[in-house]
Amino acid sequence: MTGPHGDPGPGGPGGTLTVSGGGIRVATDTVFAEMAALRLLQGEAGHWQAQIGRVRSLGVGPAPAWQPEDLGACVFGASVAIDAVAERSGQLADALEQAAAEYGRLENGLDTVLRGTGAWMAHTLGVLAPVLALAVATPLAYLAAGSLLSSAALGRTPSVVPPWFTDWLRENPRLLTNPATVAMVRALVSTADEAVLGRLGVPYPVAAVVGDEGVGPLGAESSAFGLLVAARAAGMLRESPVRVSQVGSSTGAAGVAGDPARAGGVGVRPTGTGAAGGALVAPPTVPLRGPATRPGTRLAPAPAAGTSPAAELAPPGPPTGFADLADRIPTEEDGGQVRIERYGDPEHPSWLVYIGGTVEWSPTGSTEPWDMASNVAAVAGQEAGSYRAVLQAMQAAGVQPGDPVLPVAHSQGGLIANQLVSRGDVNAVGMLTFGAPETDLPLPDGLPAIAVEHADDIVPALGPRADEDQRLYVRRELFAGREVPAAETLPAHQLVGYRETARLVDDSPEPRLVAFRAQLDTIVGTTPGEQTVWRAERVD
Amino acid sequence: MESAGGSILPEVDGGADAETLARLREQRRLLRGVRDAVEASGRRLAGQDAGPDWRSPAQRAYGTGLGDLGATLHGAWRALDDALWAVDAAIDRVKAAL
Repeated sequence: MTGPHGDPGPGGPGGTLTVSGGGIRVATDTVFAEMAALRLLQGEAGHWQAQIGRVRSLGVGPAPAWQPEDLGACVFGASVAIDAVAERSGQLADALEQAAAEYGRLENGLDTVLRGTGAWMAHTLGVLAPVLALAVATPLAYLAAGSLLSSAALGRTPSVVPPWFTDWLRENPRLLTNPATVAMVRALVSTADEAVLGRLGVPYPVAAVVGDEGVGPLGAESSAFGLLVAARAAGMLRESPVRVSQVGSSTGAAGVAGDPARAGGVGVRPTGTGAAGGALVAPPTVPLRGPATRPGTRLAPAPAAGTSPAAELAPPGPPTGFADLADRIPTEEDGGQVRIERYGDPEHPSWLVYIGGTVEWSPTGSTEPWDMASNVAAVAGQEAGSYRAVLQAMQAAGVQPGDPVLPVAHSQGGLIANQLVSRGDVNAVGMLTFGAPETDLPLPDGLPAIAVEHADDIVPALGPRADEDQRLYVRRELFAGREVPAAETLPAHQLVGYRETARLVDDSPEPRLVAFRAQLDTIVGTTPGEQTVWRAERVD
Repeated sequence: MESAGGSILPEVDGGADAETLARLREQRRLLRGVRDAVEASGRRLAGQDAGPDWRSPAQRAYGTGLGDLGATLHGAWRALDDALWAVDAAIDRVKAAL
């Protein structure tokens, strides 16, 4: 926005963070920081004026007798200047505020135009297309992305996207990694209702109103649910019990989640025992509410029979900012999908729960809970396998109801984090997501929730957006002014890119981002904590 | 008691005493606090220079506004520093008269 073009470094356009949230204001993080600094100065000037008033009240002599070097004259001059400081700083802050509001209005206006056009097109398309195809439009986008990724990564033939289309997209990487494409997808996702209503013969003006009101029958959630039902009948996207095992620990203990004898077990209803000796939990038994035993007593010191010993991990130092948090989100190299850190003393712990992104993009035949079945189930508002796995891991780690929890997540992990917080399954004290599909799930009032998104990452656009949203969106175009890597699929969605962006967020003076970092300090304290890494598997 | 302008100590009534000195010292403490705060704010403001990337007319106007604000802050600082000098001088005179 303000940087020189063509500079690939963090200071260039790719390094510009745009912040939106808290009303209609949209601006770069620098502008918000300047606004806050000017308001601070305005407030300080008021305080200074009060101090000057006290000086006057102690006596500065009658004004007619003042000479230029006299206390009275000097204090009067200072008072006038301080008044001017208050007025000018206020005017400048107002100007920035107005600019941010204008920018926000412009963006909202463009969104409205785009959405209106999209709604009309969707309605017209709906008249022509089969209802079922439209009903599953949004989740099909997930499947398409999944198939694209699986074919790119594994050389498999995609089951949803035709090979020629996959090849074409691969040859034109800018097509999918493009803010314009992202905006178009967002408009499509938000106009599914109009399309279906069009197909049902509802006139456009009525369909548009119904779509705007968000009361349409086939938004992302209900269409995803419809797809789940249809796909499961065809043997795809099937849910299953999950088993969670500890694969790494800084305390030397290991165990398997969901075993009442080990983890307190309140809320856990084991339905069988897996080959590896872990207790199994059927899908309907979560959420796993109720107390678990405290750390140190919750897990046996030796691994469960049939499980691999947990890797010994170093006690984690307290994370200091967004980059540290992003770096600790587990990837496949960590051997697990969930990392849980505990800080504070055992009687008053605080927890950081790091949840990874989608691992398996195929719609069938996977033992991986972080799969397409969980993606679609999460969009459908169902308790996905990955969601249940996170609950089990938290319980096994010793997270008690009421303990402060800060979820930090990437991609599908972000969907899970939003569900955890929105459903009240954790006592969230904040939330940080990277590249998570947007969601209209409500959050507790006043909860600091930050969603970091790349403007050229298509995944966040796949979820529905709420009109009243308290999340603070921090956006950056990852590949602005630089070439999109052709070898990677959806490169703007990869965690490595978000880790780079997290470093920029750490450097941002934006007051709400600074406040989030300060809050993190109070959550984790200054002494090293403990960590465990958990691996979940589907058990059929 | 005489002073440079004759008006710095209007309530002294010619009789310098400990109460006058205490009042002057309180004024000095207050003025010093405000001056130092103004100085700190001025440094902070200077640190948020918009930089050369701000090229549009609106951005240049904003930059000019920031410059004016900095100059006004500097004016306030000078006035406060002068006031401090005047109080210090008055304190010296009161002490000399004791």
